[in-house]
Amino acid sequence: MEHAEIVQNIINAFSIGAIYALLALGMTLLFGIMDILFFAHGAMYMLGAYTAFYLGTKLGLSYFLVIPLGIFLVGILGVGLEKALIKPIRNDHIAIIFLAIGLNWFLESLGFIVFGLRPKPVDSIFTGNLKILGATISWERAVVVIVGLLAVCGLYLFLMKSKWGLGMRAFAEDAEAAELQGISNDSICSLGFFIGCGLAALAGILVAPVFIITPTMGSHAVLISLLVIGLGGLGSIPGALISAFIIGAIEALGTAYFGADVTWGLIFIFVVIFLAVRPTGILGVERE
Amino acid sequence: MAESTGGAKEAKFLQEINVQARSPIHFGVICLILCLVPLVVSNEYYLHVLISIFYHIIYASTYRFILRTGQFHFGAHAFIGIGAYSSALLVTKLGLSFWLAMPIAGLISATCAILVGYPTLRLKGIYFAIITWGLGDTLRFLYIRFESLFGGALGIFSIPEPDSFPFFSNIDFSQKSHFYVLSVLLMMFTLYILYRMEKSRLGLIFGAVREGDKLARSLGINIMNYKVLAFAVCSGLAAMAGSFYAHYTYYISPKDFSILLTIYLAIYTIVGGKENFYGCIIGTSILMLAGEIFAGYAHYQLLMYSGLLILIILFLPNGLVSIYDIIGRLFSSSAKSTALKDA
Repeated sequence: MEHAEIVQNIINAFSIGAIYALLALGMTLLFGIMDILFFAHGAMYMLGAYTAFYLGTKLGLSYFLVIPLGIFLVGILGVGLEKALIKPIRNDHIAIIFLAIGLNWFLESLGFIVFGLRPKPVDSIFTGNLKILGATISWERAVVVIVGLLAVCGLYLFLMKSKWGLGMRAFAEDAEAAELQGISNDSICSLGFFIGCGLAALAGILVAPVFIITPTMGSHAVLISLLVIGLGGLGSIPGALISAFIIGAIEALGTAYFGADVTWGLIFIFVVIFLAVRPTGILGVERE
Repeated sequence: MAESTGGAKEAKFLQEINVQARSPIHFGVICLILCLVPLVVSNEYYLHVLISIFYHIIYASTYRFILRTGQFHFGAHAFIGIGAYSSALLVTKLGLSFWLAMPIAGLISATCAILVGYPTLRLKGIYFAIITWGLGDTLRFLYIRFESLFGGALGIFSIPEPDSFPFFSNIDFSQKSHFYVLSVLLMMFTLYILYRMEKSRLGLIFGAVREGDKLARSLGINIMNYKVLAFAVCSGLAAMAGSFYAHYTYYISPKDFSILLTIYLAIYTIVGGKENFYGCIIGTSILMLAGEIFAGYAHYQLLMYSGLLILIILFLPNGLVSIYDIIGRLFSSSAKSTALKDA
C-alpha cells in the first residue's frame, strides 16, 4: 500500500465517521437525557435536508442563513411534537418507541406526497477539493467533518459546563428530585427535543449536497444512528463519537477492499459480536 | 416426595388456567367454517384479499408473541424473507416438493433464530431491535449481491405453485380457492400453537419475564432458553407463512422483505391491541380491509396506518379490542345507575 492510499483511506474513514457521528448525536442525546429512543429522528433529518433544498436552492437564500433557519424550524417542530404527542405518555417508554415509529413513517409518507418521489439535488457552495498529504477530500465533505466535530464538542461542553446542561444531567439522574430542586421537567424535555431535532436537521442540511435527498433517506439514517449509538453505549456522547469513527473506518476500508455491499454485512457482524461480548457498548453503563 | 406434590400442584394449577382456554374443537369449528367460505364467495378478488389477510395474521401474531416476551423485534421481515427465499430455492433449484420445502424453510428460519437469539436475546430491549433490524437489512444486501443464487434485485421468478395436495389429487392449486383453504389451515395451525403456548406454563413464564426479568430469574426460571424457544418457534411459523407467500404470488424480490413489512406488523399489532391474543387478528383484518381502499396508493396507505397508530397509542392504549371492554363497562354502569334510580 502506498503512502497516499493509506492517508486517503484514513481521510475517507474520518469523513464517513463524522457524518455518522453527527447523525447519531441528536438521538443519543434524547436517549441519554430522557431514555427515549426517538425513531422520528430520521424524519427530522429528512426534513432538514428538504429545508436546505426549498430554502437554499428554491428560494435562493444563502447557505449560511439556511443552516440556522433550518435548525430552528425543525427544532420548533420537534418541540411541538413533544408537547402534543410525547408529553401525555412520557412514562410509558414502550408506547413512546412505537409512537415515534409511527411518527417517522407518517412524516416519511407525507414527504412522498408533499415533496414527490423524484430525488432532489442541492447545490453546494463549497466547491473544489482539499489536498492533505497527497490525499484528496472534497470541500463539502471537509465542511461536514469540521462542523460535525464542532457540534459534538459543543454539545458535550453544553452538557458539562452550562447551567442548562447541568439541569439536563440532573433530570436524567432523577427527574423527580430535579423537579423538587426547581428544574422544570417540561422545559428540560422541550429543550432536549429542540436540540435533538435541531441536530438532526443540521445533519440533514450539511449532508444534503453530499448525498441525493429522497423522502426515504431518514429510515436508513435511523438504522445507522441505532448501530452507532448501540455500539458506543446508549446515551454516551463520547461513545457515539468513537463508535461512529470505528464504523466509518470499517466502511471506508471495506468499500476500498471488498466492495460496498459486503461492507454493510461486515459492520453488522462486527456490531453483533461486539455487543455479544460487551452488552453495554464501548462506553455505556448498565442501567435499569 | 416433595417434588411429586409440587408437580401435582402445578398440574392442578395448569388445569385451572386451561379451563378458560378454548379447546381444540373451537379451533376446528372455526377452521371448518372458514374453509367453507369459497362455496359462497367465488369472486377471486375477495378470496385474494382474504388470503393476504390470513398470512398477514400469521406474521402479526408471531410478531406479537415475540413482543410479549419483552423484546423489541424489528427483524420479522428477515425471518419471513429467509422462509420465502429458502422455500423458493429448494423448490426451483433442488426440485423439492412444496410440502417438504415449507417445513424445511420453517426449520431453517428457526435455526437462524436460535443462532441470532442466543447472543442477542441476552441484551436488553433495544439492542435486540438494532441487531434484528440490521440482520434484515444485511440479508437484503446479500439477496441483491449474490445474483446467481438469489436472483439479485429482480428476485426469483416463476416459483411453481404447490404440487397437488397429498392424498387429494384433485386439489392441484389451479384455483384461488385451493390456496384459500391452505392459508386457512396454515393460519389456524399457527394460531392454535400460539394459543396453547400462551395459555400454558410457557405463557405464564413469558408474563413473568416481561414483568420482572430479574425476579423471574431469581425464581429459577431460565429466561434465556424460554426466550430463544419463543423466538425460534415464532420465526419458524412466520417463515412457513413466508414460504406460502412465495408460492402463492409466484414471485419474490428483496423489496418484499424490507423494514416496512415489520413496521406494518407493528402497526397491526399495536392498533389491534398487543395485550390481547385476538388483538392482532382484529387489527390485521380491519386495517388490511381499510387499506384496500388505498390499494395502489402505498404512501396514502402508510400515512393512514401510521396516523392511526399515533392516535391509538394516545387515546386507546390497549388497542381496538379494548373498545369491546369500554362498551361493556358503559352498559354495565348505565344499568347500575338505572338500578340505583329505581331503588
